[in-house]
Amino acid sequence: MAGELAVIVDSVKSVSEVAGADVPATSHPIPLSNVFREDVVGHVLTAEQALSGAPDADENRFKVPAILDEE
Amino acid sequence: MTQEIIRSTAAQLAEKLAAKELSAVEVTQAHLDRIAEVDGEVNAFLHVNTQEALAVAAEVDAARAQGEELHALAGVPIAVKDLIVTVGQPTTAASKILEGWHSPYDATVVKKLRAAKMPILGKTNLDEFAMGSSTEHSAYGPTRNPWDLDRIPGGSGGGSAAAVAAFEAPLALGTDTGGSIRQPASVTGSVGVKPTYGGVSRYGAIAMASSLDQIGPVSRTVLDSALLHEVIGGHDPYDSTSLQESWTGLAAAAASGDVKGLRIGIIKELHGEGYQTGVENRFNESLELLKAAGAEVVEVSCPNFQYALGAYYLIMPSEASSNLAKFDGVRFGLRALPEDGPMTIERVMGATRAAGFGDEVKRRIILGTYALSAGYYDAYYGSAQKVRTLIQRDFDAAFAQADVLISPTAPTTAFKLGEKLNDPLAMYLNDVATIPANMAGVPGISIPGGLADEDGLPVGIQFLAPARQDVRLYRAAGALEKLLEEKWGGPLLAQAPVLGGAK
Amino acid sequence: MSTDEILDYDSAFEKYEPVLGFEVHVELNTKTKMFSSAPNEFGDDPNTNVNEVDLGLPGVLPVVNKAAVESSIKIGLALNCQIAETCRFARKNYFYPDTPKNFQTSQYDEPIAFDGYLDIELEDGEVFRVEIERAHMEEDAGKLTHMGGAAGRIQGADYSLVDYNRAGVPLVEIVTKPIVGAGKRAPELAKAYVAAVREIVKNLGVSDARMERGNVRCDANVSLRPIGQEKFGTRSETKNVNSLRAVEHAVRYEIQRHGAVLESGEKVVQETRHWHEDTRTTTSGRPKSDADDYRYFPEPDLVPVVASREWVEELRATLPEPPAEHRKRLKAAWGYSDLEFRDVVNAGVMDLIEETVAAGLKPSAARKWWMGEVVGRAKVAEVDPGELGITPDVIVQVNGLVEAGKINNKMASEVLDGVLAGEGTPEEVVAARGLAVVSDDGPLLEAIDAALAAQPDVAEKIRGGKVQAIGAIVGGVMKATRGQADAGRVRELILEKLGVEG
Repeated sequence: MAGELAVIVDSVKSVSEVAGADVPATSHPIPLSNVFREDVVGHVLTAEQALSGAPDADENRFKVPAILDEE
Repeated sequence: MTQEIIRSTAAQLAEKLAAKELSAVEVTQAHLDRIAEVDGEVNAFLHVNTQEALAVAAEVDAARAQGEELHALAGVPIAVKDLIVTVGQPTTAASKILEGWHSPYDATVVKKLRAAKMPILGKTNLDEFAMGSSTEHSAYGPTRNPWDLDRIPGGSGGGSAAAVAAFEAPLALGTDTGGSIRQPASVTGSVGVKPTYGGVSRYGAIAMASSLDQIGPVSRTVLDSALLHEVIGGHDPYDSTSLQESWTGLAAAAASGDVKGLRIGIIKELHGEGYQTGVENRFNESLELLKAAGAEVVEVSCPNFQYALGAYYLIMPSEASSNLAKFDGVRFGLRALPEDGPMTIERVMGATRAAGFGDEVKRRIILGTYALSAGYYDAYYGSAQKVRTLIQRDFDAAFAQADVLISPTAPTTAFKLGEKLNDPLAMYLNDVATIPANMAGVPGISIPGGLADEDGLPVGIQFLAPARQDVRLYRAAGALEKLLEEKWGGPLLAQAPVLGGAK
Repeated sequence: MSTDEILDYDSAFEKYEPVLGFEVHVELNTKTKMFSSAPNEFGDDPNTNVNEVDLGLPGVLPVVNKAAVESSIKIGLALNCQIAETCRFARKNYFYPDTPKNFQTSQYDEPIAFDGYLDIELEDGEVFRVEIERAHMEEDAGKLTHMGGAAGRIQGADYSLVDYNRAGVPLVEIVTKPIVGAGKRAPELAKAYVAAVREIVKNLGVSDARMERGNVRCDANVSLRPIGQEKFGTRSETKNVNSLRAVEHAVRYEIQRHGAVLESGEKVVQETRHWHEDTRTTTSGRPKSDADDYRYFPEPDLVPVVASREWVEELRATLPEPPAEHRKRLKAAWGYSDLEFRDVVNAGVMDLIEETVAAGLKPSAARKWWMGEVVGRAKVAEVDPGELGITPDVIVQVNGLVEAGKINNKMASEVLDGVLAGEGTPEEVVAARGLAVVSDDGPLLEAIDAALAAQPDVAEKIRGGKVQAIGAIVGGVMKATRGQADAGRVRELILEKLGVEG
């Protein structure tokens, strides 16, 4: 996979050539702004629904093995 | 009877259902029978939704019998790409990491299908997490092209395209991030549309590249796609990037058949060298037909398109690497445990993703993580966002000279299964003509343009329109389709090899 | 777990000076979450205030809560910040089980508010200006509970349980610029700064601001540099600082710990540390790197927020009186002296007194109760006065009982003990403990006769005009009635009996 990645990376490097300092970046293709939602409660899932896909659960909470590192 | 039904277009079925010449149950059953007949070979479907589809069909029949008012497409069945979440059916994204996963919520577009009472036949196959151009990267086996079962049906939405091309469904939904609706349409002789970015809600489409993804219609005719587009399009408060526009008049445009005075721009950089001769020939033929029908054909140049592929393969994996981070074995989906060593959640997440993701997905996640990393952001992701600006500028300049733009949809016809699997770069080149539209957010359509002489396989013709001008696509494509079908004496798919028992 | 060396506090300042930095996270009290319409509620059953967006299920998309944006702008204005004309959200990418998408939607190089300041008044009146770098919007993570290890700690835990109710709750993160020049008053300033932020957001009505509920959370950054050096020393970040008291202690501890490290010739490790209230120490967490690569990029699923100047001015017009102004007004209304008022503010009971006065007590009475009875108990219990368990309502009730003559002040104190011990309402405690002022003069007169008889020489003194001597008789009566007499009434009766003017 490393070889494939190298080929891909090389071919995309050309992108930085053409993108000059004077060209602004476009993060969103269609310009929109101020799309908001009113602060009104909508739907919730039941705990059962929320946990329906859980690989492991206990007392309505998702269960995970020991966490090594505290964030 | 089944043959008649399955070879009808969605518009024709809608008419017959409204006239009570056919029942919705008959129509749905016919398609289920067809799926049973041919999908063993085609492998378009990952899940067939027999019970619910027939139940919805029965509801339609009962409602119609009561004289209730129904949507025009009520009772017309549809297949849904397995990247779009559906309550009551699994959604796998063609990945092991979501094997058997049932979403507790429906995608907005699925809600709309249900509101229109369109029976959902099942979920169709795709490249895993929509990453691919051949559907060979599905964890559940490839889908095969109905024109030649040893060939790819395109990707990532090969399942939806093959389903309509094999008459297993009159309509399907796909998603298009870099061409995943249009390129499969091109190689299977069917129709596929990528709407203007934001024109159709993305809520419930498993995200690949958020700034590029769109859900769109897949069908056999331009009118059918227009009708479906009108169902699924529109503003969604659950999708902050969705546009306010509602989409009407598309079907009318598709039926109008008029290109007199329409300015059509040939994109210089998207044909010629690197394009298969047969593809080029069919493309030129279409241009002649359009000219003869009164269109003004001009040449435009989009010089920055040469960077589109590179920029796409930076933006897309970057966004995808972030979007796929949620697949970690904690809340849903596969959880794989490390074989040995300490059982920590960090290691479980790693083991899950290693076991659950295929190679192409891993490749793109690594690429994307790299492109976003500190020190590389400016040169990679940052630069790619600038290329997006340049591509938009190219489109703006082009649309100053033309109402719609035209190109072959893909450089080649369907290649053989396995042919490009070991050469990701060659695989990526399939998208060279479709990617610019996603980068800029403009809409695009692919319609059948004929068969290539050298291999007898379908060629696709792509139209592109300015953002929010999806109606122009349907006008131009509807007109060309009519001209071509006149020439062929019928739809291109009538020339496809017959599949299944009734040979 | 080895304990770190610490240097004597004052000694640290012989050679070093501290530089501080704070990241305060404020939980907004909007009805719904930042990016989804699920309820923003505290304490409900696990995973019942979530929808698919909060769980980060495949296919979901965020939608911005307008009220949260307005609250954030208000916070920025209250902190004297510039409000960005346009800003975007960004993804902060990292894997952690409490983060459902394994990225946090936050703001990176485009915060909604920036370049502000807060003037902090310390207990003795000195004012210190803390400069605010930025305030930005982001979402909270879920809650992890570690099981099987020691005291719910992560080390040694067998497994953890995750509740996503809190995931997606709107947060505003307020970041200071480096705070220099606080010197020995650094811990004091730290506490005062966090208290001021807390007061502001509570006053704005944008947060419940209860630190014990995590509505306001503080990460404290501390570094030491040799006096005269320009370059900052290596900093440590202390998390889990959950009360004002903890803020002060943690900063003090870190100064001492850094001092010891530097004095021993070692280098301070740049890391995250955890504050432990029980041992009043910090312990090492994970190594923190400024280059923690979160791979920030603009959030493609959200569009920019454009804060027009009109909108900002509209919001500015809705801001309530700033706390400093509010304080001035209360001080004038209550008629406290400068010192009395400062004591009240420093003790952290100003809001409580305000509530009590609103419930009908005279300001002087309210001050007597809170300062006299609650503050001392809170200090002993090592909690903030508001956390002790005495509410303004309780004070109103106790005060009412005293004014009605049902109990005296000494009993009132016992009643408060009873309430704190969980014995019930003030009335219930009075009944259960049999506390009642002897209001019938009869038994009092008997006791007075007995006391006078027992101390005839004192009785003579009083008759002779030495009224001060009455105290001994009153004392005798109080003793005889086991403190259940009203001392004032007793004194009156004694004077009457002896025919002396009091």
